[in-house]
Amino acid sequence: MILSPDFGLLGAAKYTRQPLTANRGPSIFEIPEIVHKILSYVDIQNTVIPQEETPIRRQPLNYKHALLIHGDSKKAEQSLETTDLDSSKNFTTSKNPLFNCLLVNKLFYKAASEIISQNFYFSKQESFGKYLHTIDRAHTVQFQPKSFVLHKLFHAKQPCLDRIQMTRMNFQKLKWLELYMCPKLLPPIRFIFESSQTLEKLVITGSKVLDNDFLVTLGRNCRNLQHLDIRACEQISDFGIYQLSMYCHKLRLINLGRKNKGNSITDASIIPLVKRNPRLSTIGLAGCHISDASIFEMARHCRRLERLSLNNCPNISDSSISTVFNSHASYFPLLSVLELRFNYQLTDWKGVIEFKRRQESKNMIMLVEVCEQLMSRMRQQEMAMDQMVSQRIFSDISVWVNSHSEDEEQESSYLELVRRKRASDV
Amino acid sequence: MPDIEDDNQDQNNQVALKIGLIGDSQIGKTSLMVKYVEGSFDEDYIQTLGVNFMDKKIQIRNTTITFSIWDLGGQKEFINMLPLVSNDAVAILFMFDLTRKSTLNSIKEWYRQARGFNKTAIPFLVGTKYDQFIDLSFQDQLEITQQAKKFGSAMKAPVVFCSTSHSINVQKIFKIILSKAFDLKLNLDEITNVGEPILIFK
Repeated sequence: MILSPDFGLLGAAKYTRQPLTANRGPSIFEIPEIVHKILSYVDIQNTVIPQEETPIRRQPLNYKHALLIHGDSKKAEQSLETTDLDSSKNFTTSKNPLFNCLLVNKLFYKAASEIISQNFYFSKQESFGKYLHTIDRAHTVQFQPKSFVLHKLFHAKQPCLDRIQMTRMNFQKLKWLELYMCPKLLPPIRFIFESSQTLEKLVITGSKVLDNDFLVTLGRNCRNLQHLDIRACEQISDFGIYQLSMYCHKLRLINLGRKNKGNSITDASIIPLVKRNPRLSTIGLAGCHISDASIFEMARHCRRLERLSLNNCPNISDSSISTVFNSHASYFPLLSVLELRFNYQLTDWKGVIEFKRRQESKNMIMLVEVCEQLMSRMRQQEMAMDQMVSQRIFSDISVWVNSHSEDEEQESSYLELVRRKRASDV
Repeated sequence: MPDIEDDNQDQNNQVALKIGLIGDSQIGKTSLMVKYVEGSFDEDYIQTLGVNFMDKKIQIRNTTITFSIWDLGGQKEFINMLPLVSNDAVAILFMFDLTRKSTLNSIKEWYRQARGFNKTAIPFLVGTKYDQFIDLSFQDQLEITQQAKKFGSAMKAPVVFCSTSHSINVQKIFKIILSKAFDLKLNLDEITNVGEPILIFK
């Protein structure tokens, strides 16, 4: 078969409908394995599951803050602008050519629907509603999804999910369950039971209905969980986390950040959690009322920690922050993001500054996110430290230039040279 | 300015200074560099093709000073590599042969060229082969010394006469560089009399 330059997947349909000459053998588009491979690539290249983008840096709080971070006014303005654009980014899923593949022929239909059914995702109320209408009809795609993602369906109500539960969709292959900012939705327990062996990633953020009971069931069933992001789920408290920590020991990411009800997450659950999850690489505890004790336990147990968010944790103090990061300790060898915004109670930044420099001297990128007031506090201490270093260098050099070092003793005096010259002249 | 970086892990401070050596051929630029870095002196002449480069590290208590010494071949055809040697240098040593007046006269042109690339480097005027210089007649010594002093004050540069083979004033050059770069007080007497190994730096 000759590939014309404008050869597209719809073009393929034209070819396969034509009778094939016998001596050529079957076209590659008739071999199921190859069609499956091709469509898998279409999937990889085009399917974008709606997901919150990981910010490279947090947006500065105000212009002055941006100025402190970036140094010059132009960059500061830019940093305030670009982040605005990112958050307004929309997901377009309707143009995915994988859907066109359904229309090519029976084989393509089978392969494409198999691939499509691996990922179940909606980010628009409207299209989710349309799906729910077709759900009862016999010919809808039979889902056995690896991922189940609902993104920002603020108004979706629980009956929607219950209805999906009634379909023939099954969750035995589910690895990733995400309800991102769908405040009124709680995954039916069937989801959890069926995916108990496979579920690795659970993201339920900003949920008003997620509660401790769910976490307990989750922990008891899904012991392979690695990624648990339950930010701004304010019904969750120490009890649920503690129960979960009894069963889940493979966690790599945990995020419990919140704005309200911070006092319901404390050392009581965080200490057992970090003790039993040495593989944690990301911990988010923004707004939680943990104390220094949790920080010390993290330092002892989480050697693989890369990102730690402690924004707005009113009960942590200098006593942990200045000691676990100081130059004599060697905790958190892999840490590269540390967030400490709004912790105005912290006054001693020497340890953090030393830690940042130590990581950077190992060629790691070390980002310390703080708010405006803390940043200027940190800068002041940084300058004072630099000044001390400079003074030390100056005094060291001053001693050397004015000392008679060993090298210098070899320097012969010119008088000696002249004496020797004269002796040889005679 | 010298780069200062602080490595807290072993409480060691690093200071790096780049120094350029410039002047006519066969003056002893490479010899001076090798003598300072390795402590050895070789009578044989090996022409420098292009640029030579050596590092000398000095450990003083908690501070490590690294002199990065760059030496440019004296032949005219290597002048296009002058920026390599003079850019970012903290000090540039303009060197001449105390026994050849013509090499002192070339300094003017070397200075003009190097200044074009680096206006902040501290200039030094360094006369080499002092051990042979003292064999010249007093008149010649007087003439060269006076001329060097005149150049030195015009360039606002310290003037040093040295002998690489006899280890005279070699170490002192680098101590003066440091004291100038960091504006430190240096407890060292100047030597200004004709016939003596000149050391003017104040």
